[in-house]
Amino acid sequence: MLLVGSWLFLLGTPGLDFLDSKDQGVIGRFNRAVRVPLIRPLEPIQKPFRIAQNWSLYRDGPARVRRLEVWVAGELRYRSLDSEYDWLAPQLRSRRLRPVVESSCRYTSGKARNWRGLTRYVAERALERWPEATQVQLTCTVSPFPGEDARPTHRMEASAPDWTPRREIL
Amino acid sequence: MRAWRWWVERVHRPVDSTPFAWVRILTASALLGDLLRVAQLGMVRTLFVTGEHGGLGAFQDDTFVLDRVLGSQAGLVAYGTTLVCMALTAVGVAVRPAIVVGVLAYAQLGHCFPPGDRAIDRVLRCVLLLLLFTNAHRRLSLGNLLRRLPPLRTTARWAEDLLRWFMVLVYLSAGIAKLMQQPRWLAIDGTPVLYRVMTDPLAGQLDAAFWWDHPLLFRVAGWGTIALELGAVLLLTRLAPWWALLGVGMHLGIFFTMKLGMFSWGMLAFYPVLLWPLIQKVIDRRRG
Repeated sequence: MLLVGSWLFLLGTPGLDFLDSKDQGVIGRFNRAVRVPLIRPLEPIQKPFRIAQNWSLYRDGPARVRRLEVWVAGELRYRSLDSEYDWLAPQLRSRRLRPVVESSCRYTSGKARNWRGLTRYVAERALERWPEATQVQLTCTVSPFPGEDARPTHRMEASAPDWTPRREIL
Repeated sequence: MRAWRWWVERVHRPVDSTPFAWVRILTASALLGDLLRVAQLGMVRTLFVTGEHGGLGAFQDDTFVLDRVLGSQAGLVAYGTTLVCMALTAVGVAVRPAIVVGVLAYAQLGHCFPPGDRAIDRVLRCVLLLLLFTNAHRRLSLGNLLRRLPPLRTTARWAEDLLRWFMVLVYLSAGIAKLMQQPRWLAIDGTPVLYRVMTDPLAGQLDAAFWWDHPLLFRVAGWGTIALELGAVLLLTRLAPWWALLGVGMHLGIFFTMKLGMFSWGMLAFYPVLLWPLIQKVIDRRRG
């Protein structure tokens, strides 16, 4: 119990995972010199169970209001948290897909690694519902709080005949 | 020497295994419900088939080893295995093997689609692994009835201590991370952080425009969140049940204001251990 408890404490010492990696304070130097070398050999044990975590649960809110809009054949079908346009809302807001929507709308860099898959997924669902559609657009918008005067930042799109996902920065 | 003896006696002291059985049932049920919801939304193949085989995920962890054996079906097999194992764990049949196989399969799901594997999934896996070493498998379990085994009514106290310690680390880390990365959680002016969290259209449920004029509400709730998380050390004291009541309030608040799937139910699944002294008092009072 002592061993496991100490191990847990070592792995998850509150706060140390959020220190600047070059922090020159006493705690930062202790972290680099003692804790990190001790937990490195334990990493292979954590991987098969996927339990490594720094527990930074909901540390921050977004600085600006970001929304995803889905346009099918020029018609708005979905907008984040908008009960009027809620086609595919249960899927796009589900806890496992939401992080993909978030990263695809927040970043246009390498951090948005699944935007092609997201575009393909939405396009396939749209074609099931509206088989005659020839274009599906996912537009990300941003605005200051409380969320008025939104402007588009980038657009992910798939269209007939090849339906290959494309992205355009606006 | 005396301190060591006290410690050994403490960790071996038997405690009621019923709250652990409830943790087992609720944890497995939360996960089961979450996975069935994925099926209900028609997203099993979307999430658990890799991008190269027609799924959504463009990248997998290098520890996603099941695909080397099962190819394109790996994620689906992991999904089915986790589902069956969690059902067995919840009803109490072959619990220990079900937890080992189930946690490994559940981890493979995370390796298969990393963005969908959140902090709550890791917490659940940790606690399932902890339950493996308790007598939770032989209390409130169908396995006892099927095999005509007597229930094991007690388990060693170390498990309770370890679960509390684990929850202290989780909540305390969350509180410290909030303050280290966003000190405005304690600000007395400006837009409250909690307002931004709860009205984020991508994850929240509240209308940003409607709640814009009520910053004080969010500011006070934000301070309360930090106080509660930093106060998690109380879980190591006799005040734990009272802290847990506030924790229940916080998680219900999160459930009604945010769209985080099973997060709240998953965390509340551990609370029977914390609330057990209060629950027992109520039961005793009813029995007169």
